[in-house]
Amino acid sequence: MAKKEYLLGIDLGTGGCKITLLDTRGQVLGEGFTEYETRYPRPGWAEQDPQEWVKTFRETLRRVFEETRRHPSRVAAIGIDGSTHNAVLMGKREKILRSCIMWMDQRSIRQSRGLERRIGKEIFRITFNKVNPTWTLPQLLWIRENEPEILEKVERVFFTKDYLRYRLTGTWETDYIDAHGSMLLDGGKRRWSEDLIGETGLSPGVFPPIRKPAEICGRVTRRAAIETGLREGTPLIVGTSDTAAEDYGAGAIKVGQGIVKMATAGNVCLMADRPYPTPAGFNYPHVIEGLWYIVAGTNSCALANRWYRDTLCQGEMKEARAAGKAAFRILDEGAEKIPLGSEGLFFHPYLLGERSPYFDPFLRASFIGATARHRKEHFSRAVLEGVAYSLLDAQRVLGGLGRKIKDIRLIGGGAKSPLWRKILADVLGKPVWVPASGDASFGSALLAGVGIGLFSDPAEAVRQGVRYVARVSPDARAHKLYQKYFPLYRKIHDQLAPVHRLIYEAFAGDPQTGS
Amino acid sequence: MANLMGIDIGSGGCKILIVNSRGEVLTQKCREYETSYPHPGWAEQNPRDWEDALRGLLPLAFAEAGLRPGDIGCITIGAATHSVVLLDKKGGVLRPAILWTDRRSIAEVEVLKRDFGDMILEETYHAPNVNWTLPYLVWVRAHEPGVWEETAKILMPKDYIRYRFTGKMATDYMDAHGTLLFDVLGRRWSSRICQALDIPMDILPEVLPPAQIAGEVNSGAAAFFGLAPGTPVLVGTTDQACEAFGSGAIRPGSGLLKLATAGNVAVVTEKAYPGPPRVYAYYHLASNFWYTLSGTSSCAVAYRWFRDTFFEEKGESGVYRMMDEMAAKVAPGAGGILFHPSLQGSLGDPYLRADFLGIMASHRKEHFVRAVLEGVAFSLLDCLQKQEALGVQAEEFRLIGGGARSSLWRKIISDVFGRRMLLPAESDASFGAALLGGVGIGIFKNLEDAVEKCVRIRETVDPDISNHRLYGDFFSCYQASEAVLKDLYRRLHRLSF
Repeated sequence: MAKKEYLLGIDLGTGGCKITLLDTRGQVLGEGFTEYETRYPRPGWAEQDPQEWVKTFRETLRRVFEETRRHPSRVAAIGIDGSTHNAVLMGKREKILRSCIMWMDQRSIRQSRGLERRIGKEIFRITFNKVNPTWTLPQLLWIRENEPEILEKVERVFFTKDYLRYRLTGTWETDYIDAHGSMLLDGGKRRWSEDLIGETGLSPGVFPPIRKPAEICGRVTRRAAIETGLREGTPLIVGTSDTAAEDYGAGAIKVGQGIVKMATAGNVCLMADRPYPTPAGFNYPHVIEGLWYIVAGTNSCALANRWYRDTLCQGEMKEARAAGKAAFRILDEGAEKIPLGSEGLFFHPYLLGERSPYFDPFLRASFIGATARHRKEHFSRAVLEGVAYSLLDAQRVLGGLGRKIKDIRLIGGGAKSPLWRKILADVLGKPVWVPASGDASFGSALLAGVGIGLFSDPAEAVRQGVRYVARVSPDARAHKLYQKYFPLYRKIHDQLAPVHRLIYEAFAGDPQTGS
Repeated sequence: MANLMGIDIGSGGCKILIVNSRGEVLTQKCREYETSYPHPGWAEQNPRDWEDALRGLLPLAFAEAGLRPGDIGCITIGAATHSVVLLDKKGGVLRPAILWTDRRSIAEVEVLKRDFGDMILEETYHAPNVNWTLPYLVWVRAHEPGVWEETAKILMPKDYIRYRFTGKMATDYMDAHGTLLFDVLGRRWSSRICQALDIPMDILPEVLPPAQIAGEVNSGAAAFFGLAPGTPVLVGTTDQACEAFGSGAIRPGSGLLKLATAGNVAVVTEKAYPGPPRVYAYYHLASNFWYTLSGTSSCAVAYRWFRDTFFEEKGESGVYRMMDEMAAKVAPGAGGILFHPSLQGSLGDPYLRADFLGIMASHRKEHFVRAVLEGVAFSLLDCLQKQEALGVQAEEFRLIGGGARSSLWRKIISDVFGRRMLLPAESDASFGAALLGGVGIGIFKNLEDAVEKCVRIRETVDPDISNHRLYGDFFSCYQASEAVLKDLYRRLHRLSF
């Protein structure tokens, strides 16, 4: 038998599938990423097709092995993670009953309100988290009320990564971190809460067994081996949520370390010694036993810049194709020429409502303060600054808990932009470290190495595998300016929130909205 | 047969138009020129650019009309009002013209309002505001004393061009009224205001009736511009007065909606409605009438700005058609995006800026395009409501200006207003100016005669009631958010942006 020399990490993120291939010392041999589509069938809704995940995974896997000229049969272990607590509903004969409602979907506003009113305190006590439309519980309640015929047919519930793993191993389970994010778990006991499951109208038997992230739980089946080129019998660990995997993979394994993630969604995480239940952030267990992390998440982060590019920057995209470079780079080059503050143009990135710190699904994005002098480049910079403000806004939630973040590890697609890193360091006023691989798939691959005993424990895997490519120090003068502007960013939010509510009401019941 | 030439020196560019005595347009040529924004809120143009644009256009116009310069019976010029050119005693231009969209005089206006507001209102029917001439003069005196020292005469843009044609310095009642230095009832420069503010009266040009002949093209100008020496040049008047006349709005109750760089809503009235802020009473060309006007400083310029900022096909005229087609695919309401078009402040609040609210991930570029068209329509409805509050009534509107060429915009405006819109075949200020020339040299008996013979309506648009109802809800959001934004933009200004 050939020597098994690779660790494979698979991430089914919100924007696409990322795969990382490591050697046994944790060094990156190759990686690949493919986007998949999020559909917005109605304003505020967001759905994905689970079959699309599987298809995209296979394509990406094939490409990674082609490009690295390595052979998939020499993978020693596979780690897997996914965007968290999106429920895939399976009926008889493995039939997927509806497209997957994503965590950023806002349709369950009414159900969330109802739960909050009736049993909000109880839920907070059991799950350490506050009800809002992001969680699986209110989304299942929405299905119960609006698509009861679907709910009746549910035989098994999967979360994103669990569904892909099922397609590889045929096994059905989840880890305690993803389960915690469903709002159906008793967080203290790490057991499904029968009371909360009762709210959904589903029976407890349709929810998967709960295991630890680094445990080996299954092996690649013959059929999956044929479809993917992986060797039959290759072990898979249970895996975990994308956030848990990437915090770990970015090297945040000690209390006081912070993570800022600039992916489709953004978030700020703080490593903590225990849960600190707060209505403004989420508490999750860490993959390291006993450690917790508190997340303050925003809904639109790199998504905002991508949306901006796709919606308003067709010219730059054309230019980029002609010049053979990324459109984002062209946008950054323009933004770099604009003075800090974008000459008074503010962007609020609430394209999908907002989570931390507002938890207001009615919020919408805006550009405020344009004059005849403002050109495209101002808008490009305003988008980067607006997202950075929104992350500062979210970070203040954690600061409010009395535990200061010492430094930031910056991950996600947005971390690739040197300008955006700089803006973020200046807005937050903290040193920013950029890990060589800040991807969840990297963390998952390391964790797979822990699963098969290649590393003695999770911390050892980090010591061996994690490298940093950049360290950005905040500029004191720039930080001072941003601190001067930030109160107005807040004020604009405060004043426009009721206006956005009015706009929502003016359009409520109008099927043409967003057409 | 006499041919009449009308010239318009507009905010975005100039136009030359020649009609025959039946009002048939023989040629129409236009050319854009640059506006520079040296600081946020400033707006300037170089008068030399106006001359160059005209010089370039005149031979094209003659060629297209198949005329020689000697075939022109008279030339009449209209222009954007309030903008000012400062001349030294040799008639040389001292600094770039300050445009009426410029907002540099915010501080000066505060003082004028506080210390002289009542007197100015009493004399002129108008309150001091940043878009009118007097505050610019006070600003120049304070910030550019060297320029002020040398200023021997001030002229409005049309007066400057007429001066370059004939050597004669003069202005008309309407432009004079727009300076904030004019005694509106006495129809003469206000010595009271000039004395109080220490403005030397000899820098103010002679004031003449618009339809009077002011002078003739002199030989130097004839050679420079390619005109025939001796061609009569009328006093002319403001672009607004020319447009109202040229599109046929000469009877009380007749409304005019202008979608140009700036936008405005004008209604012909039997009496003046002076006083309330941001609603202006102006003389009508028909000397017994007035018109009531309220406006925005960013109208079609908002669409142009959006084009220049977000469409790579810079400056091509086909881009507007493409934008209209995109916007037409989106249902009324633009999916909930609200646009406030105050890219250069508003006439009432210099701190206002433009914004897009209500943006969601599902929105595409076409939603933004439609939002711009709708936002401008809302800003115009806002203007009309200020007049209606005074009792001014208008049942239908004539749509004029570059924006009126868009059939989608006409439809949106009709739906937003809930009124019938008429599209005159010709509505440019240069057309009204040319007709005015015809009245001046006696080809037409009077204004009514000119309108009857020459003004044609090309299209009538009636509102869709269900769209009108939907826009009503959305207009409430527009107004509610504007109230909130006023405060935010004041704060923005304090951060010294």
